[in-house]
Amino acid sequence: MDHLSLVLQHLSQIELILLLPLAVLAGMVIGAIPGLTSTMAVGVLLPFTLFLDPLVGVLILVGIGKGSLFGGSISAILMNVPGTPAAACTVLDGYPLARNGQAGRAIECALWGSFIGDMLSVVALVLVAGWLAKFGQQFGPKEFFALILLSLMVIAALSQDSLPRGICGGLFGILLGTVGLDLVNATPRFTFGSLELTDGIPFLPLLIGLFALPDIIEHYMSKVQDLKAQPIDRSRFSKADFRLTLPTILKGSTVGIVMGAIPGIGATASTFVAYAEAKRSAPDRDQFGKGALSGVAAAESANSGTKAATLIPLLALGVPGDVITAILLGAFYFHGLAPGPLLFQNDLPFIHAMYIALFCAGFFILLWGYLLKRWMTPIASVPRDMLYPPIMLLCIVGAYALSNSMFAVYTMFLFGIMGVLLRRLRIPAPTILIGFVLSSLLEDNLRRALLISRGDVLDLFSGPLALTLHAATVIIVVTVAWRALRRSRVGKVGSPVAQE
Amino acid sequence: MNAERLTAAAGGLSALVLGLLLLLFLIPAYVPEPAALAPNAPGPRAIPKIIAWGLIILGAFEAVTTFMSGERIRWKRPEGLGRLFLVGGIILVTLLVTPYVGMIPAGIVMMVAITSGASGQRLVPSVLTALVFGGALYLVFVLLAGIPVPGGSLWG
Repeated sequence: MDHLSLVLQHLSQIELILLLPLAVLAGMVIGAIPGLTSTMAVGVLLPFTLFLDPLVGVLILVGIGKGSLFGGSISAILMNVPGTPAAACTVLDGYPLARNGQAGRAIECALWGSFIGDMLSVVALVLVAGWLAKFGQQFGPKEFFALILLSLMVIAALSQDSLPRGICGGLFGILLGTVGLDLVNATPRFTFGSLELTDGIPFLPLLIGLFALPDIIEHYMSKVQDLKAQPIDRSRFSKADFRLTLPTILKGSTVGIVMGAIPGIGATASTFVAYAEAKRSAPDRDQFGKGALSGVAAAESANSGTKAATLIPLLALGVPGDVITAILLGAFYFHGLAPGPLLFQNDLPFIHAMYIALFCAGFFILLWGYLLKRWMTPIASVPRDMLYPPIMLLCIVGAYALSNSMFAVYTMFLFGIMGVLLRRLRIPAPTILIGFVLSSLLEDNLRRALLISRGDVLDLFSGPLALTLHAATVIIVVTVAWRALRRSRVGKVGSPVAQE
Repeated sequence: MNAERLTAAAGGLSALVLGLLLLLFLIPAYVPEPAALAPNAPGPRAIPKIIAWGLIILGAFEAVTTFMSGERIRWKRPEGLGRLFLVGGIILVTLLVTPYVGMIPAGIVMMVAITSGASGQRLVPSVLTALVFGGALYLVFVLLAGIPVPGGSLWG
């Protein structure tokens, strides 16, 4: 069968046609409700996608992630609470617009920003991923080892205010990944005599436990009141508004794409950069903070611009750039696929079908955004007390489903408690997950590199590619450490009592 | 005041303790060395040892620098601890009865108990939500997708 018909065969699956629009819709609804995060949604729904075709399963998760990025803007605009961390900047101008009776205009502005950002991001994915995968074919074990180390360092550096805590999180994740039978020597590691642990710590309970349960546990621990949402009015995003915000949207999308493609940076950081740039250069910059459309457009185009861009290192090199792509990497492995240069070599129709479906998902954001506009206020106002018990049941069923054992369910709750504790200790959970996911890859490449070099550790740092990657790791560590040192000095000079 | 500074340094201290625990107890006790190792290849203890040293060095560095910086954190006592324990108890009972009554029926009762019992929502919407969600879960995941969930020994 030729390439095109294989692509069409992938795309013509009835499950894909039915479930992709629903996944985008589900993502939007989840993103719109404060307290429900896209990570939680993707993690909780991952087990149910494993029974589907690989392409459908992966695209459902991507669709949820995409939808939730726009969904986050809904509660930001209507309730002054970002539905997702990436919508933090949308609040600054979206809510003032809603309070001035222009909620509809702000939502439509966010929608167009998201749509254009997302489309350009997919274009970047199509243009760059294939090229990067070709480049990745030159990578041997030591280059992959260096790349994984670099990714972990970037993620650790950017995920929290402290680099050592971030790296400790990554190390803890790698440690969790070593549990089970050592594949080379067939000796058990940290199994404590448990038969269930011989296969290692199950990925899904760890994922759901660390990313879905802590929010639920913290909700029941505190007495947070649900907020009221502003009503949606009849104001519209006009052609003049579109012309006004288009340059900002294009700039924001570019920022999102560039920052999304670098492992570890992600949507939240890119929105702050795009917002700051728009505040400097947008035509309505004097309105920033009081209800500037460009503020909403910059934030939304930047966060949606990251979405497909984060898939670039994942698809091309097999390295996840954020938590969602780490979950996607897990989903790929569950389906027996290994993202990276080999996927481009062996299953190009899969990749091309994915590109087309990603474009379609972008159009679904626009479609659902307009169709759902009048329902956004009640959706954002659903009380969390009514939502969390069903999510909990979904977590239990999901954790149980894959292994058919209650061990997975108990493990999930254990990681849920651990997730709350880690938040108290300010150790970032994303670094743990990414360390866990990359653990076997890191160890495998290290072992292979040492075997090739006959045990010469210095060989890991030889060759232009490996050396460049290690140099980048060192530069990141030094930069972050220097900034932290400077910050602490400024803090000491500024106030004798450090921040509480 | 020092207690609050120690709380701020708790992340680093935990990493340090975990690293020491790994190096002194967990690795020797729970990672056996194989009888023969492939030449030039690191053994099964290599990565855990690197991790342990990493945790010790970074944990100590983090703990000391945070403590010296004078940063203070006070952990607040959770306001809804009673509610959390009630929810935890409901979940525990649900998990214990699941093998007998099945996951979906036990889950429906769990949802009602949490929404109306622990969260004080009205009973009728809670029951309706639980029934609709439980039914949808059964229809989509068990009947359509064929995902196995425990059926319950009571029903045969």
